[in-house]
Amino acid sequence: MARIELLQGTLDMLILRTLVLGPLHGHAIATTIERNSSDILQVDHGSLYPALHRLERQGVITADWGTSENNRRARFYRLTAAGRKRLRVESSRWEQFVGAVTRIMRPAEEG
Amino acid sequence: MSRRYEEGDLDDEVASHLEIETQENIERGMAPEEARYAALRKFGSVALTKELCREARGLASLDRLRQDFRFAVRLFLRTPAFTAAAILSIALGIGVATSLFSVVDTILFRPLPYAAPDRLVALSLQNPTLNLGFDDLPISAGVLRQWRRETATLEQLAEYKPNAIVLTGGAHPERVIALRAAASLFPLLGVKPALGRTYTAEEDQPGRDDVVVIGDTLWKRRFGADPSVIGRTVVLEGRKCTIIGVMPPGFHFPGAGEMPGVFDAFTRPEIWIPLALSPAEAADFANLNHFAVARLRRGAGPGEARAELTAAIERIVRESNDLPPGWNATVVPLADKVAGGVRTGILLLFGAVGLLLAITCANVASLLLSRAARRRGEMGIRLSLGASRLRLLRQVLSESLLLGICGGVGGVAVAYTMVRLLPVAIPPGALPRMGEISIDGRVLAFSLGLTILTALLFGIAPALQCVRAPVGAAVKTGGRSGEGAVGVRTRQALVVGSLAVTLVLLTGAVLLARSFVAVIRTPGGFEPDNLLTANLPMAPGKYGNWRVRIHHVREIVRRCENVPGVQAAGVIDLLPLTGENNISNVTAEGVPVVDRRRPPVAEFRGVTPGYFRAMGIPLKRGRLFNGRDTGDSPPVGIISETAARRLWSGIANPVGRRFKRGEDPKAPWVEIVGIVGDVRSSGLETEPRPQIYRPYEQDSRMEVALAVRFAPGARELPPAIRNAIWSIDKDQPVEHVLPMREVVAESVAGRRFRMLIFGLFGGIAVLLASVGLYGVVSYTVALRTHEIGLRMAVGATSAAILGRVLNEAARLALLGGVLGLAGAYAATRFLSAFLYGVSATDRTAFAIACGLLLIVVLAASWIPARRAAQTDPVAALRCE
Repeated sequence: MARIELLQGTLDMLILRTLVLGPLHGHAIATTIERNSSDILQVDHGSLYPALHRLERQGVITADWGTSENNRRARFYRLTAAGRKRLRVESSRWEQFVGAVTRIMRPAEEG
Repeated sequence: MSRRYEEGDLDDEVASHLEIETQENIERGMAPEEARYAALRKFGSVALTKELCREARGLASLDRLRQDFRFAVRLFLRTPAFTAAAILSIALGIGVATSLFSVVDTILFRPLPYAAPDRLVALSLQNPTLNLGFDDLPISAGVLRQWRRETATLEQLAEYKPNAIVLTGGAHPERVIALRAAASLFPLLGVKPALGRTYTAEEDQPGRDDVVVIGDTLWKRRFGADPSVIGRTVVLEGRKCTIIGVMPPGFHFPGAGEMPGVFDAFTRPEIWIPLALSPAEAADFANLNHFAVARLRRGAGPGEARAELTAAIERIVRESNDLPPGWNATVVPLADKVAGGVRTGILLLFGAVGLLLAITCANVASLLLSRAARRRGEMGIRLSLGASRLRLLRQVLSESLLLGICGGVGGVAVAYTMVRLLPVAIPPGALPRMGEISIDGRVLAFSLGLTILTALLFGIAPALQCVRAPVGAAVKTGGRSGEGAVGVRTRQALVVGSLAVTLVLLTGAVLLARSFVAVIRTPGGFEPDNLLTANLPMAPGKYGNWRVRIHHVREIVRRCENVPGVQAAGVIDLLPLTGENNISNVTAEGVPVVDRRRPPVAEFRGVTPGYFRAMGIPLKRGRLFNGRDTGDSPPVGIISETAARRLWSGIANPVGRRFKRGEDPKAPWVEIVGIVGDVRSSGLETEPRPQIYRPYEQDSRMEVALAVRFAPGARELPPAIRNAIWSIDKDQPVEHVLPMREVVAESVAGRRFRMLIFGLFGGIAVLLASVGLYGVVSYTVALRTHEIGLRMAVGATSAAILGRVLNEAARLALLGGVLGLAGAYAATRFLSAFLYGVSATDRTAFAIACGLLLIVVLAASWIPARRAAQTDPVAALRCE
């Protein structure tokens, strides 16, 4: 299956979703997304960090330095309360979006 | 909370990510190198990511600005010489401009420190028909009284009259400048005393006027700032008076500028005394000896007041016979009167400073451009990595802003120092309201605005450079070649501009210098060397009686003549070149008045017989005064050559003819006994007016000046003279003991100051322009190192290379010179009011200025030219 590139807004939402279960460092976030999508979604590692920093500036995630599994120094990101709220909003909007597009693409089901 | 995210953190984070990925790749079975390579490939461009992260972190604009500034600071610290040079030049330019602005602001813009200053006007008279040569005549008390009674446009009026009085009692007699003022002056100006009170209208009458108000400087100097000074008595001219009030510091009404010619450098009123006019004096229409300030009624304009006052005085002319016709009242806003004389001069200086600042900006812009050219490579790479041009532009501009701000702060320090030094540098009295000049909020705001403006001005060029940086080319060549061309053109243009502006300033300075020399070289009609002068004010209490006075003066002259080393001594009531005057109409017997509208006038002086010899004024015809011309002998007079020519024109030898002062038929005729050479008593620049001398014994005034000619090499003269005078009267003030040369120098102090300031500006401009030229020429030489090496390799001599470089510099200079000449031609007309003996387009001055510029250009381009000529061709060819 071809790997599909992610749009920026979608990447933001996925990052937030990934962090729900707990803090992760940047590399782990990327691999989690890829793994959970069965490798369909391709995360450009280079654009991950700008996205992370943008989200950090917006205050929906915060970060602290820590040690990774293999004893390397890494920066761990964590959801904030604002981040949870944002995730809820984005999720519902996404579902509406997907629902609407699906209805258009498969009009037969309407009838 | 997390600490600030630093640039280093970003590096760490990315490195950490790559390590983790590499590790995973190794665990998947790749070789370490391959693992790393795969990780990098998956990541994409590290540099781009970092750039995007920086963008994404966005940071508030303030944070971004902080980052830019920190970056700029590091950059500037790496090149301390450049930074210091740039900041210093900016500080100098802004500092000088700011100080001048504070002067301009105080004198021209700030309202006078009195109540409702916009309605305050100065009143004076003019009468073109009287040919007195002045436009601003004082007013008589009678006219003022009438004006006060009859006019509706004036809400309040206060008359005053300057006076020099002698304060005795206490340590030493002191002559202070006093103002006899109507009681209404203080409420009119709205200034309250710092201690005590001012006098009332009841006290402003003869007999009840033994009260005085003293000024702050007198209070500090003579009374040690003692707060219990109220109620103390002082002896004024032999009369006991009580001090009832002390005025606040800075109150000097009228100060310099408000009565030019009467109050000057050394004279500002320190004590205010009731005018106390007797009924006879108050009704006197004919003697013009009062000044007046008034407040207009709300809604009335100076024009209305002028019409009303002129009509009133015309009524007086009709109804009484005391005044000739033809008067116009002059009503001028007080602020204009104060500022008027110096307005042009100050604005001119301001313009010159503006030019100087422009050269400074050009220089700094040029320096920044050379750096921008070197950073083209860096810029190009960043652009190709996706950094927005806006980002780069912002960074370059913030560098310029930082430089500007540092320069601006330095400039405020410079301005502060300059304003502190003003009272020392400027001849006192040359500028009105000098005590008020300070660095206040308005001035600081101006400084800030100017700083930002200059930062933008010199920041634009390098900013444009980086915005237009071609991306591809820079990256390919690693940023070296091609960087020169565009930047160099702009820099050359800037240098040409600086040279042009410098030439304009130089021309101005040379013109002023030539004027000054012309004035100084003008013979005054006397011999200024080996001549000592002193002021001898006499207390009316002691010397009110004219016989006592004459005897006193005679004794003084006799004792001075006996001092060893003295060749001649004489006394005159008004020394030449000291500003005061005594002018009257002259009726020449038997000479019909040619033009009724221009009756003859002359300057009158009272002198002792030895005066002419002491001053070195030549006798042309007839005789000088001698011991036989006393107060009881027939009235005699000596006239000047101009008087003979103008008043007795057509008569070959006026000696023996008679004249009288004024037109009173009862006044006695005076016989002319001699003709002497002209003396430029009003100023070296002013054509001598007709002068008439009378023996002091026949026309004695209360204040005289001593002139003593001594043998060259005579020493310790001043103390000997003082002792001689004090041996007659130990309370006789002997003031301003100065060689005549210094009196002459003081009379041209204003002109000298202007010349020096312009010279200073010209010098600074020359310095700045030559630094700019040096920079550009060195730069082009460095760029062309390879080419020079090539030329030398194929046979060009050192001299030829030298010639080429000088040639290029000369082309810039020529262009700048031509522009400068055109600019000077247009601009020097603004100087014409200050020129003497030279026209604004004086060829010699222009030639001198061009010559100076040429020397400077040669000097500035010599060093880089020599360096070019000494290039080692082998090394040059190797360098790319």
